[in-house]
Amino acid sequence: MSNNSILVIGGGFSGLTAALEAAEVGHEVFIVEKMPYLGGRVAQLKHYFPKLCPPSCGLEINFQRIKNNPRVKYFTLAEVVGVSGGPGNYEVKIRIKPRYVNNNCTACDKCVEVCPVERNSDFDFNVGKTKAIYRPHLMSFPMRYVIDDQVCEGTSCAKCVEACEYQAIDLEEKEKEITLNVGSLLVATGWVPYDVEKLTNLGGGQIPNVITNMQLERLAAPAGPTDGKIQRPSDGAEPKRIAFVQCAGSRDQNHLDYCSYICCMASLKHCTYIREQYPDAEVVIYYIDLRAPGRYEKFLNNIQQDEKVLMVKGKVAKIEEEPGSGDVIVTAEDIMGGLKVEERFNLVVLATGMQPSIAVEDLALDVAKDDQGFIIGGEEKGVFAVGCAKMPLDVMTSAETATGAALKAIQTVRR
Amino acid sequence: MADKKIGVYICTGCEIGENVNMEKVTEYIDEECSPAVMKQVPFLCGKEGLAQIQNDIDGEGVNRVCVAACSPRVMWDVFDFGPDVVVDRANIRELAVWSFHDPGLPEPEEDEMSDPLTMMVRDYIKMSVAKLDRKTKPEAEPIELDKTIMVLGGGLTGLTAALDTAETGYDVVLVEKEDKLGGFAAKMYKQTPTKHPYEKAEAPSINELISRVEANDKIKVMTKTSLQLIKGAPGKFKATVKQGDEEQVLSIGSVILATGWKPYDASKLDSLGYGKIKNVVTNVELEQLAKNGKLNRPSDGQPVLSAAFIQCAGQRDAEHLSYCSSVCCMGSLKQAGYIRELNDEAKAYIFYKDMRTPGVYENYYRAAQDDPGIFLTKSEIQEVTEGENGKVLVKVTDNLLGEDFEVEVDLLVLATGMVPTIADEPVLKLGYRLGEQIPDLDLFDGFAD
Amino acid sequence: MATRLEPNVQFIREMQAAGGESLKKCYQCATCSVVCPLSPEEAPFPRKEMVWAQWGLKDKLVNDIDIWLCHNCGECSDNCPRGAKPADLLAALRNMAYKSLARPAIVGEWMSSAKYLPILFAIPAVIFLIVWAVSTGLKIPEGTIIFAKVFPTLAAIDPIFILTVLFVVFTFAASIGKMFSSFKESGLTPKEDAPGFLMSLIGVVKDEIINHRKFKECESNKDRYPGHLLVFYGFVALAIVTGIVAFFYWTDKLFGFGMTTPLALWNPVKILANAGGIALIVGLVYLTRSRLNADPKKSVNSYYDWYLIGVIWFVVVTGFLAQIFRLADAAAPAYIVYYLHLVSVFMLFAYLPWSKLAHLVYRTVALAYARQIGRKGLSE
Repeated sequence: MSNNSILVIGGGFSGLTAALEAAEVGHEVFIVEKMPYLGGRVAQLKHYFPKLCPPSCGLEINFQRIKNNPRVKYFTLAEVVGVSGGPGNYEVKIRIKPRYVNNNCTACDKCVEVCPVERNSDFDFNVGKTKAIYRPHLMSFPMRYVIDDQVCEGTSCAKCVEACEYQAIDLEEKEKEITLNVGSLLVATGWVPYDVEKLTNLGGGQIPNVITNMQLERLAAPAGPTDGKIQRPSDGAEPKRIAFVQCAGSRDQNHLDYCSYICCMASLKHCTYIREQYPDAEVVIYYIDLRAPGRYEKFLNNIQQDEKVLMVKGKVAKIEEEPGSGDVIVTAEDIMGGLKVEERFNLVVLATGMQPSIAVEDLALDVAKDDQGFIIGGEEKGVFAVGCAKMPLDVMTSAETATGAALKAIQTVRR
Repeated sequence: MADKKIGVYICTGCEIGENVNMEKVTEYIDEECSPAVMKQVPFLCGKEGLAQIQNDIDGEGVNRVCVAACSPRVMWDVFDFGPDVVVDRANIRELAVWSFHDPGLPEPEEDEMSDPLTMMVRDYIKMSVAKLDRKTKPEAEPIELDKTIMVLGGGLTGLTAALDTAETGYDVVLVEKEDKLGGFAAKMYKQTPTKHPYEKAEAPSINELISRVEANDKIKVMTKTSLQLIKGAPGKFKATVKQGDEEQVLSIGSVILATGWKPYDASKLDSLGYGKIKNVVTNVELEQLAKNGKLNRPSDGQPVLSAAFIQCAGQRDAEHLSYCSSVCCMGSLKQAGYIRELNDEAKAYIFYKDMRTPGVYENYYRAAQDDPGIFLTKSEIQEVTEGENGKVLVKVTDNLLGEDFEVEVDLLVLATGMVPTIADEPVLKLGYRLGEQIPDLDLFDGFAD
Repeated sequence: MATRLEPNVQFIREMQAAGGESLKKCYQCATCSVVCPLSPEEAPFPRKEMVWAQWGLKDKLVNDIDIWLCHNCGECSDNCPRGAKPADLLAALRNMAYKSLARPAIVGEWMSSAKYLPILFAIPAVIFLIVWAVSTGLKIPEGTIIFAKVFPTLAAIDPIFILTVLFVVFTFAASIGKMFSSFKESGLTPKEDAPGFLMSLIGVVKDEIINHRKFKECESNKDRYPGHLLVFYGFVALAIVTGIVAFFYWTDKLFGFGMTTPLALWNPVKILANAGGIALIVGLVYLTRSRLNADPKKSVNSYYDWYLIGVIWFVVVTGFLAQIFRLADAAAPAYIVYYLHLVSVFMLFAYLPWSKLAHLVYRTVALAYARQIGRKGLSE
């Protein structure tokens, strides 16, 4: 008898969609999420396509579906450490890292007030800071604090334990391991932004006022580290001239040897963020091809109407900091104009591509991957890749692959 | 359901107690709503707090619980007292206590106005109680659902949907208006790559799919069949279909709309020579020529030694199709290969606005362009004219080569776009008051939203 | 009337065969033009060369001055996101220019592929074998090893090499003429206030060649600057030595004072010769190593590259070995190796206009012309 349950690795938009689709057809579903919250990359955005909703909208709908569906169970801070068995009958070992905060936590924030340790916020891509004990983010689900044990001073400090009126903090919590029996696995491990430090000619990680597209999302997000104000990291100044560098790492055999799918639309979307705050800011988008597939063409048209947004065909291959001013000098060939030009900007945004998460941090699951780390097999084993674990996709298409894969997983466990 | 008995539980933790004049709140609520039970609890979501509520449910018969505490996003799973107890959350922490800033209003005359925060808290609780008081728990009315799924359209999408539906265990009716299954995919000479490494055009896989569908006994295939009417509701549709002259009514639970697309009407592209110059064809026509092994010049049947592809022939153009058709860049790269395959000396030009091969399709672009006989450039088309001997002249500007130029080719292929079948006819034929078409906000140029 | 383009597919295949095999992979992002430290502001290279090459636009490419402005540092290929190797394409175009500019064209053909190497070797091998047969009947002479016993300076070596040099000079003169007219054809004419050609040439030698300034800017290939510099100065030293020796040979003949070879090891001229030889070897080691270690994803070595490196190695190794055998008094090996040395020197110089070494003339001329038309890198 086949086990009817389905395991979803990854609790981002793809994983949530796949899990809910399967659960709503009647299957027991487990979501294993590495981060302390569900929602993945979408949770980090200010707006997302196709309708430019804030993530609190679409994610909230999915969280409601989880709350109302007893068939969905999820584990945060959890990772798959071993898989044995076969289709219809998998045994999966899962390691759950300690959160150090139990479900007494009322999210009252008293612990944060007393915590003496600061850390760079990975959620904010290091443009913001949190304490060692922190709320993952404003709309975090589950709404429960977490301690970063890499920086927390532990029981020798324990100021948070004293401050918590609800006995929600246990600094001695230990790692746990659990075993789940499932019939099929969905891999929805998603993506990580490509490491900009590798883009040395673009000043990645070196020049303060050269940021990534995901950092811009956090700067623009209302609950972000600057309360939604887009400003230069070096001095907090308002940028008046901003450049977008498309294909920063993508379509490049020295980095990511594929098109990352989302970056053109992301930069066009970012133009709307900028325009909302700075009606007079000038924007230049340097591109190889403007990829606004399908119905997104209209969005591109709208941005093209903006006289202060210029689109230049020619990839930026050199970025240098102007000493003193904090400004950034960008060199590109304006191909249609036939000129190699150096332009000065206050802020440069690298439209960094996506890399499959499991290319960076391997998954304890035997499944075929291509040379870039995308999953290219597994169907015969009842393992189905979803969303950006499979190929670079946007949110909407990821969700479609999630629905399709959920169906495949259901077929597997019903066999 | 038994009589409504409302219990109001006000949490005083998380700074609520210190900031709100609880005496005034309870006095007011008691006066206005007179709940059966009202309590202040220091840590309502904790074990003892929950136990207090449970006690009242068990002892006092409370069956409506107002939790006046934090946002329902927090502690969303703890206030669950079983199916017979209705719970409502009055979010007095986030919406009142934490977010309240003294507006510095002038001192009001009436005493109670002097403390707006307490008023807010009081009102939130009053609203919650009002809600509990009026709410009735809906009783489910299970209906007998029809589990047969109807797939409209027997192209690649419809076939895939039908097969997966059947393999999940459902009965399927596949309705196709043509006499054969396969749609556009069946008219293709080759298909663009569908699997890793996404580098080579593939032999079409449609025939295999068709035979799997035809062999599946859960799928009832109805070709030469048109949909006449859909009535009823989700789970209980009655679909009238007409096969030949015979009409029948099917009981259907759900409908998958997979009627696909049709090519954009190329006769509107006369500015690009279509209809005026014989050796100008569309990408769909080229596909058929290649499929039939007759990839020659339409004018005189002579071999095609050079072909130009104009991308976005109508697409991304407000006068024609305002959207990008997504597949034409891949399609032309593939079709350029057809031209090259005929003759090693043949030349294929592709004039594009932006080469759109997103994601892993970049692999195909890279592989396909690595051919000495394929010539690509971003460009704008200035003019298409007829040359000597049936040749076609294409003049382009704004290109990558640094000057305007023209090429002379045997065949010009217009990479025309797709128009959804639902754009101008109501394919679903819903017998609904809202109209025959799938309900649509018209956000996406005729594609269903 | 728009220009009618007709891609020359044959020319594309020739470029691919001459070293530009990846040219079709380019998708026109212009990374190359940006990272190239020598690429000018207007109509920068090599992005435009890549698209011209993809389209087989022979006319544009054969008249393009920019292929000579490129110093083949490889920055473009290193950063190319598609592995299209623009540096290799420009090198291939230069290789094709070596082949097509100089007459007779047949030598260019012979120089373009390894299969003709036997012919190139056989020509000097036969010539010097005839000299040997005439001088000593192919025998190893007795007594002190003096190479002139077998290869007499006055009767054989000087006439042969003087004729060779004249041949090379005339060949170059004709091909430089062609080059100028091709530049003019592509619309590049000196500016009104431009310096004269000679002044530009002196400027190029002074500002660029002596200090190898443009090689220093190369980030991608750190070995090329010392390598090329040492080989260059090694040749300069050997050219000076040859000049001095020839001068004093004739003063000796005509006026009875001077030097006769072999020179003593402590003779400053001999010291210069050996120092030049060593510089050559060290430079060659650098250059050979960088070619051998080249990442095939970034650059592919063409036959032209290996021919030149090989012949220079041939010259240097035979030169040193001949000297060592002579000092060791090993007559037979000394004469034989010296014979090979002469063959190698002939192979280096007689075919120079068709070999990669011709860049020393073509590039210098093109750089001087570029000064006249005001074409210089954006950052220069």
